[in-house]
Amino acid sequence: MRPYLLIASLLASLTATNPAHADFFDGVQAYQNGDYVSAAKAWRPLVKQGKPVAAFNMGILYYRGLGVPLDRVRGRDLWLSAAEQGYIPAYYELALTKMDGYLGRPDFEDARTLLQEAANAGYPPAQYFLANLLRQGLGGDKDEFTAMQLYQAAAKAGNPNAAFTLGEFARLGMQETPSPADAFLWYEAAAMKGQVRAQYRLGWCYQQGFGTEPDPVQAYVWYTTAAAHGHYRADEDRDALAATLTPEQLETANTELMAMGIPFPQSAGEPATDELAPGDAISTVTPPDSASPANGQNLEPASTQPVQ
Amino acid sequence: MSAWLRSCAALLAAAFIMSTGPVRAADDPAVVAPDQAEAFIQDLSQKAIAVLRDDSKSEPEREAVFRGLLKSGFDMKFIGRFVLGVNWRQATPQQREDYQALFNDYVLKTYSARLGGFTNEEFKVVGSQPAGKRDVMVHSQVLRKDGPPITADWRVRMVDGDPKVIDVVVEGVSMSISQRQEFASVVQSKGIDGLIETLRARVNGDAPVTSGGSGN
Repeated sequence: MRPYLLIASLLASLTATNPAHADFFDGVQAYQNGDYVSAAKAWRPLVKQGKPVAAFNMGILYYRGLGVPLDRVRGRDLWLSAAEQGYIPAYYELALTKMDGYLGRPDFEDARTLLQEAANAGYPPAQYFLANLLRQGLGGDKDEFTAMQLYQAAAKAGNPNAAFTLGEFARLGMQETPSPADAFLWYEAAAMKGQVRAQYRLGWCYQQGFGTEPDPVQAYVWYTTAAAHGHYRADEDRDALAATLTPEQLETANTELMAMGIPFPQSAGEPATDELAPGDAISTVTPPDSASPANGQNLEPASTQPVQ
Repeated sequence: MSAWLRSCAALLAAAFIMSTGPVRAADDPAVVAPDQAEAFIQDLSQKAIAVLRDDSKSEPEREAVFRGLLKSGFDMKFIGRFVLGVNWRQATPQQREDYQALFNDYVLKTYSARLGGFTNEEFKVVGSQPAGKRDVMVHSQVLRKDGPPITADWRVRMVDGDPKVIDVVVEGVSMSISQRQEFASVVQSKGIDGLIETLRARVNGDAPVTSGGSGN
C-alpha cells in the first residue's frame, strides 16, 4: 500500500468512532447517573457479542436488581462467563456471591479460592477481602502475616478499605503500640477517596488531636461529610461537637462543606437540608479502587480495646 | 431474601414482638400516642414518595435524601442490635462497631435501590393501635394497580423524644424477626466474624469498571 494511504487509514482508524466502544461507555455513563435501564440497554448487545466487561457489568445489574428484575442466579452466571474469559473482577464478584449468603450458605473456603485468583492478579479489592479472611481464619487457616502483606499491597495500590483498615490497626495498636500519626495518615488517605468510616475517624482524629493538631472545624467538616454519606453515628458526634463551636467556626466549616458540595445543618442541631448543594451529587458508584465511597469498611476485630 | 420483600414499599426496621400488656402509661411523653404515630408515618411516607417521584434529581441525589429519611425515621441502632439478637452481648466492642456500620450500609443499599421501583403506588395509613407498653402499631396499605394491596404495619416508639420506626411487618411478617433468624444461622455456623464478612460482601459489590482493565 502506498505510504499516504497507509497513514490515512491509520488516522481514520484512530479517529473513527467505534460504535461498540461508544455504547459501552454510554452504559457506564448511564449507570453513574443512576439510569440503570439505559445502562442495561447499552450493554445487552455487547453481552451477546461475548464481551467479558459487558457481561461483568450486566452481572452487577442483575445481581442487584438495577434496571432489570432482580435475578441473582443470572447475575452470577454472567460473572461466570466473564471469569471464564479470564476477566479478573468477575472472580472477585463471584467470591462475594460465596460469602453474602444469597445463593446458598456462606462458603468462605470457595471464596478464598476465588479471591486468591484475583489477588494474585493484583486486584486490590480481592487482596483486601482475602486479607480479612486470612486474618480471621475464615475459610481456612489463620495467616495474619500474609493478611498484613495483602492489606499493605492493596492500600499502596489505592484501595480505600485497606487504607482504612491499616488506620484502624494503627489506632488500636494491633501489630505493635498504637501509632496515632500513622492512623491519621491512613484515615486521611482513605477519607479523601470517599471511604465513609475513614471520614468519620478522620473527624474523630481532628477532634481528639489524635495524630494531628486538634482542629474542631476540620472535625466538624469530616463528621458532616461522613454523615452525609450515611455513616451510622457521625451525625451525633457532629451535633455534640457543634454545640461547642463558635458561630465563626461553624461558618468556616459550612463554607468549606458548601464548596465540597456536602449538605450540612443550617444551624446547629437542625437536620441537614434535603437539598444538595448544586454541582455535586454524592456518588454511590465508583470504579474499583479509585474514589470509592466504599461502604461497610471494616476493621477486623482481634483487639478487645474499647472503640472510642 | 424472599420474594415478598421485593414487593414491599417498607423500609427496613427492627423490633421485637412484645406480648401486649394491659398497663399503658397514657400521657407519658416517653410513650408515643396513636395519633402522633399515625401522623409521623404519614409524614415519613409522603417525604419518601416525594423523593421517589422526583425526576429532577439524579439517582445518587435521591438516594442521599432517602438515606436521610431512613436515618431520621428509623432507630437503626436499636434495629441492628435487635437483629443481631443474643450475639450482640457476645460481640466485642470492635465487632459491634463493624457490625453496626455494615448493617446500616446493608439496609441503605438494599432498600434504596429497590424503592426506585415504587413510583405509581399509593400509600395509605388506615389506622393504628397500641402495641405493648410503649409502642403503637400503625397500619398502612400500599395500593397497586396490578395486584392486591400490600399491608404494612409500622411499629413506632418514642426514642429520645422523637418517634422512630423500630419494626415493619409486611403482609404479617416481621422484617426484623426474619432478618434476625437469617443472621443467627450465619453466626451459628461462621461466628460473628463470619456474619460481618457476609454483610461486607453484601455491601461491597461495586460499580462496573470504566476502563475494562482488570482492576487498579
